[in-house]
Amino acid sequence: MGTTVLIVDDSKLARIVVAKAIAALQPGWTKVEASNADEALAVLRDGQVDLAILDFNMPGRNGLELAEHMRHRYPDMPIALATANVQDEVIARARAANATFVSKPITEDGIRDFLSGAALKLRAVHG
Amino acid sequence: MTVEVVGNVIHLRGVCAAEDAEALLSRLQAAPQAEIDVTACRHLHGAVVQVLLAFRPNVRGMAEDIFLRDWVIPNLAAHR
Amino acid sequence: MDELLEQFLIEGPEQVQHAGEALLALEGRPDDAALVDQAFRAIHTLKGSVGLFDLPAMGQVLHVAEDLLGAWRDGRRALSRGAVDALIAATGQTERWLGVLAATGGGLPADADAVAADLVSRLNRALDGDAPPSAPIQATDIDTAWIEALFRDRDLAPARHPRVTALRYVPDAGCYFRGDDPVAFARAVPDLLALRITRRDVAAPVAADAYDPYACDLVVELLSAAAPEVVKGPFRFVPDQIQLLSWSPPPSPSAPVPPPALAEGPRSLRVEASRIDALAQLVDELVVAKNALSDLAGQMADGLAPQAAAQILGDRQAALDRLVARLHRTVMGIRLVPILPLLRRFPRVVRETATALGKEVDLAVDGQDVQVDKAIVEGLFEPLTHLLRNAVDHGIEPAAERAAAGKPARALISLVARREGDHVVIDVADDGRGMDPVRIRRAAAARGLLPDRMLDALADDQVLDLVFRPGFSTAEAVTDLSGRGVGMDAVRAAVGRLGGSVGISSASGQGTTVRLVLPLNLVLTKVMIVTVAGERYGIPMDGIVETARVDPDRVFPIRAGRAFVLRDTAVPLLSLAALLGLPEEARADGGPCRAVVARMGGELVAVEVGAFVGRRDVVLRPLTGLLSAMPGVLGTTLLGDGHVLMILDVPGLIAAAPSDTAPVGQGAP
Repeated sequence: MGTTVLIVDDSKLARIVVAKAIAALQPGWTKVEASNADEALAVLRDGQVDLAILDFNMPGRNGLELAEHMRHRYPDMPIALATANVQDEVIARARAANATFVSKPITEDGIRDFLSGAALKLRAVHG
Repeated sequence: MTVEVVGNVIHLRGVCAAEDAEALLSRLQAAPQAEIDVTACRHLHGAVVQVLLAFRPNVRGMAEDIFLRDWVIPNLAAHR
Repeated sequence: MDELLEQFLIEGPEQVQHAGEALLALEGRPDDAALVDQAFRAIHTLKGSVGLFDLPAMGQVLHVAEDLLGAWRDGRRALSRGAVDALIAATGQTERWLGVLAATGGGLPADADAVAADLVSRLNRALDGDAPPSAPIQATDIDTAWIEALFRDRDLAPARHPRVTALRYVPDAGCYFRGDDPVAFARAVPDLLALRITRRDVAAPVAADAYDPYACDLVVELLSAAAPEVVKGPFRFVPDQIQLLSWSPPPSPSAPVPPPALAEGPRSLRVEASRIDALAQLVDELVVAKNALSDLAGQMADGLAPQAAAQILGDRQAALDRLVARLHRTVMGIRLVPILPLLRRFPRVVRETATALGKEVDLAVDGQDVQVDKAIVEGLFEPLTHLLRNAVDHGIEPAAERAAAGKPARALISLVARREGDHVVIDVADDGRGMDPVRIRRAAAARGLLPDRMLDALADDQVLDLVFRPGFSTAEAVTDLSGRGVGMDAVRAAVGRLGGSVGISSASGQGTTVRLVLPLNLVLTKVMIVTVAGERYGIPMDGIVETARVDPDRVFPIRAGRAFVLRDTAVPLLSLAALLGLPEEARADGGPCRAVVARMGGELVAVEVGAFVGRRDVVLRPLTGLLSAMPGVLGTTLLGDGHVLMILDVPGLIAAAPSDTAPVGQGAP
């Protein structure tokens, strides 16, 4: 069974960039996309998602709120928030939701660590 | 191979990532007296470093990577 | 220093003063809404201004102070002693930081973050309703032992690394699963000076067969020469797991920090408009005088007779003389500022010190209309702070002792400035325990400060003066004498640099008065500092035409002396060492001859020196007493490093020299 990554961003262009980066680092992984929080939750309900990269600044529910919501249902899923800078208020909530940060704009180097940490976690959780 | 055992020496080569910590750990558990050779090592992930700090094997060899050589290896106190 | 910062440094102290006064007054009148409002507005304005600059420590403190004052003003919180103390401490610290900003041109001291953290937590406690116990003045809650250990272990030299960035990173156990690699973060820090990676709990034994390599247990501590913002970079996504400080090692004992030179102070000045008007008027009159001279030149060209010309020239020159004198006085007058605002900063200083020591002390301040040179006001803050702290610390007895002596529980210190002729006299007087000449004599004898017979020859009031000697400025001296002590020699030196003097008088059991006498006008003389025979001397700039470096090949003998050609004129070359009767310095072979060229009686004369050191504005103190008749010396000045510099009267030296060193007449080479 392969690994599936969920990419959530309201900009299609941004989703393409993330998908390319993931493809370069983990060519065997499957990618699924959503353009807002509601779509993301639908995707999560429908199928198997192993890890997720969420854009922080989305209209409606932002990435942090989505992460908090997801954390309740998926306690072990590696979740990353893509953001340009991190404010103190955001840190505490992200820490509480056990979400990690990756720089925006997304690059291979920027998500490499998140992906390898996620791979480590998935092996540890699933054996 | 990043973690390779030759005789009683565990060679750490190239970029040792998080996953390599498990391999190193099981080798050390099997042979607690083993020495570690870092001559060909280019990076040690934190998980690998903490295994070395926990078990304190002798570490030998002059790593080619300057950061490892000057800053990380000296922290592994039994370095010769 | 940029324009915004300059303006901030003018307005900031004013806001601090408003806030401080309002807060002090509020203690006696806690229900006065107008005072609360005044304090709030001042802090609010300060906070807004600080936001324009990158001064996070200051910003944080002012932010919480504003919150606290806002809560008070809106009736959401009641006044508590702890809250007022915290606000006054915050105001005082802001004032100190403004001083540092002015001196450094925009940087806060290394411990600013730590001090700010302490103040913020005090203010927050007050905001949350608890009244904290009086915090000591210099408390910081941040342990820096690990930084010192890192610094020492790498044998770093404080002189080469006066300031380092220190970072301590304690990742959470699950960090590897997020992709965080502590070693990679450390690798990304530039200019590493020290790195320590250890297990969080080094003492805990490792269960060999149950060890989890993915439960991160590392602690990373490092020092870097790069700036904190740069060092923070790799850790920007884990700011809650790091401690980041800018840290200065204590200087090694062999490198004393010299006090700042007199001429370096804040560059701007608030001036009354009327003084500028007076200057403008003088400029108008100078223009008239100048025109009158050109007018005369025109008349002479038209054939005005020499005697008539000489007469008119004399008149015009006299008029110019008077104008220049008025100009001089007016400009000096612009530098005059009232002394009262300086004195009014001190009630807060006294209050902070007294609170920290658990004493009750009032400070009465009076400066009447005394005005002094701006540089004097700037130079007095530190010595007066010192004297007042001393008075509170050592002069004022604890309440029980005062009661036993029949004194009121609240001690009184008075700080009074008044004018006497062309001097300003400042008295710092307390009603404390006074100084005992007997104990001072004993302590002086024990320290070997003076031979016994000289000590015996001193009268009681002369004995008190001994506390200004460096030998007395020790902690043991302070407890011994239960009077003045620490730092009195520094106070005397600081006042001396301003051209003044300080003395002390006391009545044992009743109190002590320290008296400072300062000149009203600080006359600054521009001097060039040169070395001769290895010693430094000053030469007033207004006698110097230029300096010259002459190739030794171009110096030729002329009659009994030497000369060189300067722009078609032969200029006699004398040796300053010879004029001073000092041994000649051997000049490095082939090195240029360095000379100061002056004008004497219409002719040029050059005087050879060892080296040019620099130029300074100094306070020239004329020689007094036996030395005042000595030719060739205009006076002395005290340099920032404590050295006494003699200011030479070069023409006087030349005129007084024996004939074989005197200049010989000019002639073509």
